[in-house]
Amino acid sequence: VHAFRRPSAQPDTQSHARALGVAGLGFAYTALAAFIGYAVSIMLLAGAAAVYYGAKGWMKISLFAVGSAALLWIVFAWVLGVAMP
Amino acid sequence: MTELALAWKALSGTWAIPAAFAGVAWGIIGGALPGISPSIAMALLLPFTHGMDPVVAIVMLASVYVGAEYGGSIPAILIRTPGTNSAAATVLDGFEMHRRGRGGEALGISLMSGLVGGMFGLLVLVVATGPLARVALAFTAPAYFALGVLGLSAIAGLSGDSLIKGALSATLGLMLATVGTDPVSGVPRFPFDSPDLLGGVRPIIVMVGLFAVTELMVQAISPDWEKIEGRAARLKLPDWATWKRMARPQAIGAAIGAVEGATPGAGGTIAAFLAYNEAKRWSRTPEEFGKGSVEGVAAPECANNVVTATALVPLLGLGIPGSNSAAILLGGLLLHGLIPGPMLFVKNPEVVYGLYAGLFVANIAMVVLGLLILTPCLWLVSRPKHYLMAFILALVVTGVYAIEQSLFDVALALGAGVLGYGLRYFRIPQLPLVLGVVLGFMVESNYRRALQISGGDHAIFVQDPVSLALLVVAALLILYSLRKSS
Repeated sequence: VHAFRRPSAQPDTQSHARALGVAGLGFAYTALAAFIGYAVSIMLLAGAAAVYYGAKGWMKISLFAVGSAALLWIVFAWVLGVAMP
Repeated sequence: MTELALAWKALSGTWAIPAAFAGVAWGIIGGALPGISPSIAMALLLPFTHGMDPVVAIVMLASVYVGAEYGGSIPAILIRTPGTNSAAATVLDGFEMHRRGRGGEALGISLMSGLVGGMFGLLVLVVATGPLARVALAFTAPAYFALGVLGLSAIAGLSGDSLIKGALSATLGLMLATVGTDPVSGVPRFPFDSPDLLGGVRPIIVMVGLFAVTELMVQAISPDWEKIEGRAARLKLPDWATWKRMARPQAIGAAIGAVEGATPGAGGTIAAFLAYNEAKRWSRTPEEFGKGSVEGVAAPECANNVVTATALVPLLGLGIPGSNSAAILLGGLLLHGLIPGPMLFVKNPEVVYGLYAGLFVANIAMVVLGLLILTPCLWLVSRPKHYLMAFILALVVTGVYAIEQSLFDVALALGAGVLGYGLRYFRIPQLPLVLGVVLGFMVESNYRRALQISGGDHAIFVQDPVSLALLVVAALLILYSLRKSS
């Protein structure tokens, strides 16, 4: 299932950096959310992560980012009543 | 009768039935996504269960496991890519059936074998867990300490290819469990001047990080998976002749799944492959295996669905999770202030019997939803991987924040993800670490309580017969693992 699990396909240093970049995006979100709020920071995270995973086309990515942020806000803040940062 | 009444009350008086259906639906989708294992699908759902009634939350999480085992077989059959590790054995004959134009039949066999396996596993769970819990109720502090040691030894020795790596992972987990305020003396331990660490590292945060964040990192460097074509998805339920052919491999899968599921560290993948091999050995037509055999799909699918229930035997009976998914369920119990193990039967029987009833509903839901949502499910899992992964990352950080409204927890989960990535790179099993975190408190508190009783004399651990027996079994397991690895 995962190339990572096959000995013949062990990732190189560049791949490790790329994998760590996902955590980096998460850490950047954590740092930003406290200052610019949940809605904007999660929208930025969703958009940036989509680009990072290989999405192309700014219109699609922007729609995805706004849609994801809206959906998550509705579910967590509105339905579940979580006080977002 | 009291148990039945409790189970009925749990089902009828709460949202448990809709929760079981929702859990199974999410499980099928998650299981069908290559890379999203049942434990990851459960971990992603965990934050949503925070404000729920405990019975509803536990039923929902357990239902995800049931759904994910079936979901994993969908890409295994249609694109030769198992959605879950335990569906890997299904690829061998499932994909061959699909290649010969019998994909719908293979999906139907998988679904119905899953139902048979799930119901049999539930029966084993109900019959075995109660007596086991009654025995465990008589345990003293030294025995509980020894039980924790046995659980850690079993997982460390059996869940990976090296005892040393397993022990290293378990030790890391125990170290993480010591962070926070000392439960006996109240002294802060390793808070690193952070008030957020005074309460300790919550197991649920570590689990989400290890399972979900690690997988998101790995997916960033893995190739895109093949898309499933919608036209391939016409599920066909087995006819009477096929049922007759499925009976023997299902019986084999059920027996193997029951034993493997209840054994800590074994799990669905081993059960599925063992069942496949045994079904081939006992088959009247072994030459058909690997060429699209009905039996080759029925045996592993039955076995891995038995495991969804029997993996809960050590969790509910002893408080020791034997698999990643059971560990997540344990996290769900802890999130609601419930302590898994024998005391759960005494203090919160409605949760135990509600879970039994919920698993029954979940298996029915698996068949209903398996028939109804296959096409929309295939559409969803065929969306571009980059958007799915990006959304899951956003979901993870939001979900972790929602648990305690803490951005520090989000950073901690991301850190656990980086740790998990390192563990996977060095092929160190993650389950011992998770077990170390969740059993750390039990091991430490009972160790210290036992020493308080004995006035600091360690002989109490060998004077208590139950403790002695458990420690001897732990030592034997370690010796067995050492011999196996050498």
